[in-house]
Amino acid sequence: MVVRVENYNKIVDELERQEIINGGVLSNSEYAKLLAIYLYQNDLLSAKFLWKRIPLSTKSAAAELQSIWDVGKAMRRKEYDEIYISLKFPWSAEIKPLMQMVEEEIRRNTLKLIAKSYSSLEIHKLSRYIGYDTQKTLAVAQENGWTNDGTYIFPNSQIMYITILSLLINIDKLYTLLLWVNFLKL
Amino acid sequence: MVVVSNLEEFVSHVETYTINGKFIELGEMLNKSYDLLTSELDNLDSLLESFNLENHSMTILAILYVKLSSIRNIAQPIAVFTQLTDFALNADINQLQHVPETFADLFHLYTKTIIEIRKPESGIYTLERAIAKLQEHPSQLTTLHADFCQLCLLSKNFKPALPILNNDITSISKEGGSTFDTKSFLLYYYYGGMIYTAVKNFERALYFYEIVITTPAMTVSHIMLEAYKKYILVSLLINGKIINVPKHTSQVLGRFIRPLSQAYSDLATAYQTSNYEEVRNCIRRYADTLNRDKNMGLAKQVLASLYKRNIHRLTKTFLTLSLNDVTNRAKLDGVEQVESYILDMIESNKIFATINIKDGMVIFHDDPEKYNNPILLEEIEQQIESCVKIDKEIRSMEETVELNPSYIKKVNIAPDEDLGNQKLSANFAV
Repeated sequence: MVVRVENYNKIVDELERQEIINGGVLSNSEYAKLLAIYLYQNDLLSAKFLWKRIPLSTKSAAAELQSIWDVGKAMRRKEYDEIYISLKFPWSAEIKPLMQMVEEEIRRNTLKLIAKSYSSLEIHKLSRYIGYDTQKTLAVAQENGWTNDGTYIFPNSQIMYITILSLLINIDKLYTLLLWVNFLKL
Repeated sequence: MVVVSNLEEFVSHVETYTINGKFIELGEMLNKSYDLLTSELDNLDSLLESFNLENHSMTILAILYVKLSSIRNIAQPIAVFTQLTDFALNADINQLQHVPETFADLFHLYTKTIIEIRKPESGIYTLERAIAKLQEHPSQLTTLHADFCQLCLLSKNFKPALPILNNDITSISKEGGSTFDTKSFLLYYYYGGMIYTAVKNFERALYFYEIVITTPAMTVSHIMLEAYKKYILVSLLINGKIINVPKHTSQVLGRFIRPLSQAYSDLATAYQTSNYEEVRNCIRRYADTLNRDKNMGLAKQVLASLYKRNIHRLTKTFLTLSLNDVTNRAKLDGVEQVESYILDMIESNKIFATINIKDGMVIFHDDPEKYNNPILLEEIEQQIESCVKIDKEIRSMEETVELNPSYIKKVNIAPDEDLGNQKLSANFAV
């Protein structure tokens, strides 16, 4: 399932639009999809409000919907143990690929944040943050070029932080610059 | 039999006026037909069938208004809502411009009705379309804006409101009469502020509340009072204190509104001490007031922001601190909590720091922004664009003022004609 991020934005837009055109309701599976994509995008505020407006009857009829929100709730509270436990729910075939992406995205974002914020932290803490056992945690650390001394991990932000800037300064930008200069001269 | 012929007469009148394009007369006749139509509730649907939106939008408007006013006596109330949505989408704009007040009234009544039956979410789309129909351009404020925002708030669905709220208002539509309904103006900005508060766009929320409290006024409006309370809370969240209100604020604020919002001023005073306990006690002391004003959630956010503000203050003084020191100075409940706050602040780019658990230290850094990347350029580009837009807007407004007959008259009676003219236009240019 390869869907690009921009496409998710489009799906979100469509579902949000559909919700209001339908007079404020979506089907069970549409709610689940929208909620899961919000989590994937780390848009927890939208997720919270969506959850609040899903009709009670829908909520009580759909255990899966509740479980998706359990993940969101834990994300909001930053309870990492809870996040990975709730992600273990037996998702339906339709939602499973999405929730797997949510999990990967949470882990990726957390690793990024840790690289940015820590010069050293306990191995068991890192393992809590990313929801892996010690062995797997150490493997992930190694992949990122992070060293350890048996108790502490030493994240290295330099290695993670080679961001490639996709926005290129091209001829269009020069043209806009020209327009500004023209504007300022007037 | 008489009844039927009355309706037949109605239809034939409508047809005659429509064919001859006499819309003003048609409007007058429709106004007088309210009682007739109300007495014919059961026949209205078959009556509707003899009209179409392309030619009879005004007439359909009148019939729908009657149906909606008597919704309790109608066999299929839900069908009326569908008809209204269809009307908001497809009504003919050229005919509506003869009766904008009735059009707005219809949707005010609609808003009221669906709020009463507790289905606010069902009307967001309809109102959005109705606003688009009524507006001459997207930055025009109509009396329906407030209704729309109210529906979004009640259904906790804020995103649909943002495209409308993000348009800065440059003109006001005329359907509210020559004096646009004050309540509807104040409510739009008050509700808009609440929506921005909910989606945590606090800067914009503050701006909206500011518009409410700086609206020229002679007497206290409840909307203004409530807006001022929220203004204080949001101001604490952004600035850590109440920022001064602009000079053009009405005296009503200082004289009547401030004394009525004592709890909030006290909260601001407590916040200034940076003492967590003090703020918490203040919130406890005024819990009843805050709950009654439905501001408890916001007050709690203010309390939570104090921790972060205290940590932020440390970054200004220290380059490195031990985690224990941070815990004590920011009065937090332990190293774990400090870690999670710092992580949170790093994530949202509020501070730049590195935590070293092994040595138990935090190292604070300067903002690593070098102002040399394309993302920043993009941002600057957007800001310049919006400045250019505002500049154009102001120029065109100035032009309108300069061409206004009463303005010209005023300028011409100035003792020294040229001087007066120059002075005034200089004032406007500023």
